[in-house]
Amino acid sequence: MKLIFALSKSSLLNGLLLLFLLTHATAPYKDVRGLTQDAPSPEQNFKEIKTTAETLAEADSAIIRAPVFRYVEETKEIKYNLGGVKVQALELESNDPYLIPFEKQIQVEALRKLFRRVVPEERFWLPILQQLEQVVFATIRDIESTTDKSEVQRKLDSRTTQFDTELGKLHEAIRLYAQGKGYTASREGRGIASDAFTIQVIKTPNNGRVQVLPWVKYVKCSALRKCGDSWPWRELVSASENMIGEYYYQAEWPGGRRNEGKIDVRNNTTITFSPRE
Amino acid sequence: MAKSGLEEFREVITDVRGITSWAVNGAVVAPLADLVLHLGAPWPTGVPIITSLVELISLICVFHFWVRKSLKKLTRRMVIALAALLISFFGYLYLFDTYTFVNPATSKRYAKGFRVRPEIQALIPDQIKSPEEALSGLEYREEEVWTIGSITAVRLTLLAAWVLMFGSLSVFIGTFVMAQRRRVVRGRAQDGVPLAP
Repeated sequence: MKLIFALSKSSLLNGLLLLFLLTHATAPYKDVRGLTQDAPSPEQNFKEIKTTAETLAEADSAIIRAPVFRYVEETKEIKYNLGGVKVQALELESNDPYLIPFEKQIQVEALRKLFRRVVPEERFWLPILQQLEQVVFATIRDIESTTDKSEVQRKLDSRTTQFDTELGKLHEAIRLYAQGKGYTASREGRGIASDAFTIQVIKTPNNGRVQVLPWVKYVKCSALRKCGDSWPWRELVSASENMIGEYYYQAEWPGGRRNEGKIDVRNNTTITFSPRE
Repeated sequence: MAKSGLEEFREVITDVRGITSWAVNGAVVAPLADLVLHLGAPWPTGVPIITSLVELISLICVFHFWVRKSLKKLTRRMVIALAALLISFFGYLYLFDTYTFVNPATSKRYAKGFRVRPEIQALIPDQIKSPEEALSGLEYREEEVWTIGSITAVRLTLLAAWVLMFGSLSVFIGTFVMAQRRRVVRGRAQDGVPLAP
C-alpha cells in the first residue's frame, strides 16, 4: 500500500479510489505493480488518473456533463458543446491541486469517447485531444516538482489557461470541419447538469434500460415517425441523474417487458421505472 | 440667538455636502441591490459592477462637463434625465417581465428570444401551446426554442435599458446636486456673503 502513503499529501487517492470502486467495483485493479514502488512518478500518477477518467467516461458517470456533437439536418447545423465535470462530486478538497488535472482528464476522455462514436473516421479532434492530455501530464509534473504552495497555484493557473487555449483550438477545428461539410457549427450553450434537478433513478427490476428524450424532441420525431438513434436519446445509467422539465421515456427489461410515457421533473425527486403490468 | 450669514452659509454647505455624498454614494451603490433583489439584466455576469462603473462615469462626466452650466440649463437637463429614467424604468420592467424566464432548478434568470426557431414554430399551437411550454420540454435551453440572434438582441436590449436607467439616474442626481450648489452660491451672492476660499 505504499502508493497510498505516497499520495497521502493530497486527498487525490481517496477520491480516485472511491470513484473507481463505485464505478468499476468488479474490474481487476490494473496498477498493482505501482503499489510496490516507493514514490509514484508523474507518469504513474498520470496513468492512474487517465485509467480512472477512462472508466468514468466509459460508464457515462453522473459527474460528467456530457459533451454533445450532433447533426441537425433541417438547419444544416452541427450542434456541440465540449461538456465538463461536476467537480463538487469528485470527493476531492477544493484546494487539492490534483482536482484540476483530474477534472481535465475526465473531460478529455468524455470528448474522446464522443468523437470516437460520432466521427470515428475524422481526425480533426485527435491531435488536439493528445495536446490536451499533454497539458494534463505537464500539470501533474508541475504539482510533483513544486513544493511551494503559491508557486503550485501559479503554475496551475498557467496550465488552466493553456488547457483553455487548446479547447479554443478544438472549437475552431469543429467550426472548420462543419464548414467543410457544408454545415454551421453552433454551440449548445450551457450543459444540462449545472441547471437541473438531481433525480434518484430506481429501476424495478434493476436490470432494465431506461432512455429519455426531451418531450418536444419526442413530439417532433413522433410527427416524423422516426424516433431512432439519430435523436439525442439519453440513457439513464446512474443512480443519480440531472434532469429538468418534461421528457418522454422508454424503459425495457430482458424478456421484452417495457414501459413508456411522459415524466415531468419539477424538483429533486425519486423516479421509479417498472415494466407495465 | 440669530445666526450670522456666515453660519447659515456653512450649514447650507454642510447640507449640500451631505446631499452630494448621499446622492453619489447612493447612485453608485444602487445597482448592487441587484445582488439581493435579482432584478438586474440576466446577461452578462457582473452586471451590478458594470452598472456601478457606468454610474460613476456618468457622474464624473456631469461634474466635469456641466460645471459651468447655468441653473436654468441644469434644470432642463434634470427634466430630460428624469424623463429618460422613467421611460427606461418602465421599458426595462416590460422587457424583464416579457423576455426573461427563471430556471426552476437554480432560480437563475435567463433572456428569451423574440423569434421562435422554425422547427419549434411548426409545432405551435397544435402540439405545443407556446414557446414557454416548449422551453420546459427542452430542458430550459432557450437556444433550442428561440434563434440565437434574437436571444442576443434581447440580452443587449435588456442590458441597454438597465444601464440607461441607472445612467439617467446618476445624471439626474448629479444635475440635482449641481443645481443645489448653484442655488447656494446665488443665495449667498444675494446676501453679500463672501465666497469660500
